[in-house]
Amino acid sequence: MKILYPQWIDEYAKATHAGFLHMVPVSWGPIDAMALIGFLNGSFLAKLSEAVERIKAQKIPTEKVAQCFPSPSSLYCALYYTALEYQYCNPKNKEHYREIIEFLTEVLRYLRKKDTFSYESNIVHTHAEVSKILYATPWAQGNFTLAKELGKLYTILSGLVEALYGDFFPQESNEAYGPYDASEKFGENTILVTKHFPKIRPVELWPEMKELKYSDIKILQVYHNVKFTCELIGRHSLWEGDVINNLVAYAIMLNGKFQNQNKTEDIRALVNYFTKITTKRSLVYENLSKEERKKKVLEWLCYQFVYLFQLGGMDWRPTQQMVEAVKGKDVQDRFEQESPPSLEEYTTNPEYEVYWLKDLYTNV
Amino acid sequence: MDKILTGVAASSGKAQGKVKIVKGIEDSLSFKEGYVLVTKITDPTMVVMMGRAVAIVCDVGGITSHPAIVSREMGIPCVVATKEATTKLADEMLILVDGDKGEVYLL
Repeated sequence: MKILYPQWIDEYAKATHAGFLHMVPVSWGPIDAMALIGFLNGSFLAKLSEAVERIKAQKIPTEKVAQCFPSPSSLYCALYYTALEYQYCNPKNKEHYREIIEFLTEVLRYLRKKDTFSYESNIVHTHAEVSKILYATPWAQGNFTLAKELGKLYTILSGLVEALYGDFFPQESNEAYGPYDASEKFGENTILVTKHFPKIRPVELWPEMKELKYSDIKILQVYHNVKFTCELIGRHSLWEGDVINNLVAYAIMLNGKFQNQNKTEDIRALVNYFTKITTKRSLVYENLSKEERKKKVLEWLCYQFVYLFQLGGMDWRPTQQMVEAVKGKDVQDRFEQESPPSLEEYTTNPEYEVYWLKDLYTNV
Repeated sequence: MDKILTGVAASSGKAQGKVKIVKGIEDSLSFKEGYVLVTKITDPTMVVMMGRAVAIVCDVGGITSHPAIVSREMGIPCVVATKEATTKLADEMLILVDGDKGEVYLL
């Protein structure tokens, strides 16, 4: 049978299905964002469609559009959520949505040098860029204690990100890149993995975050005899080998500048600073009503494209149509899904977005 | 040494310690260094306790769920999807967490 839809849909489906198998969506909150997106009925897609039209009219190059996204994983999830909204739209505007999805996938292909949907890696840097990182970074030597402290720093930052973006949008501010071959600088069987926390001071979402000292943090780590893979999004890191005893070197970049975090106490100071903030932030949702949580999901949804909307000369915030679309709709606090479907069912059943992505091309 | 739980091996290594059942941030003050954090599923309110834990055991979870990811980064063993860790285990029980096999033993 002749396949009429683009090959990327199969790649997308394979990676997305594998990714969902190892997550626990039933624990995601502070409200079921997936269900909420299902009620939007094209109101967010209309806003996004306008941005795409404006950017195309201005002939802005893909390279510049790509800079609007903090990471490829952010863009992948944004793409997934648009597909989810489209799945539930009635009626469906195929032409408009096909334009959006083709625009987004083109940018994603530009960002990821291979493995577009991050089935097992998150490669965004070229060999020359990796080489530059390896030689220009002021590395500090790793050891057991420092590796433990870096692990705590990652954990506390990861917690802050989840407090700021909930369980559905942490990829906005938490990405791991790699694995990159580091042998030219550090010898055989060494890899570089970079953990990036962009957009960690989202004052547009949480004005009180303006007090945070840092807006962008990177932890660069070189390991020996360790294997790194990731699933679907960079932060879904999987390791084989001892990441504590096999840390060869590391560096920390705060607000775009490398720090001299060579001492355990320096990293502990960072951990302590973020611990207080993370603990306080993680309690915010307890005081939000259901309607306020819905509003926050709409803001998160739009905030994925904040710089894209700016590029198109538009306000990034949710439209009144979006707010009206979800007002009074009954949505649970946690995502509800029993067991994940088989790959066959996921790719052929109209209850899942892949069917509708294929439908964009097969039933025209 | 009796096997009390089987789940999914989410972060490798072995560690033993006393159990502390964690429900939320209210347990932060009583969670001591060197204990095993046992909960339904971790969330960001527990990050301080996770930093003090020698191992993590959860009722639910997958290999890319929150407890699994941070355990691997911190180099501590983690077993998820045990289904009944919070009901079979109790505070102060001495256990061994085998993050390679995805098993928990009563000592």
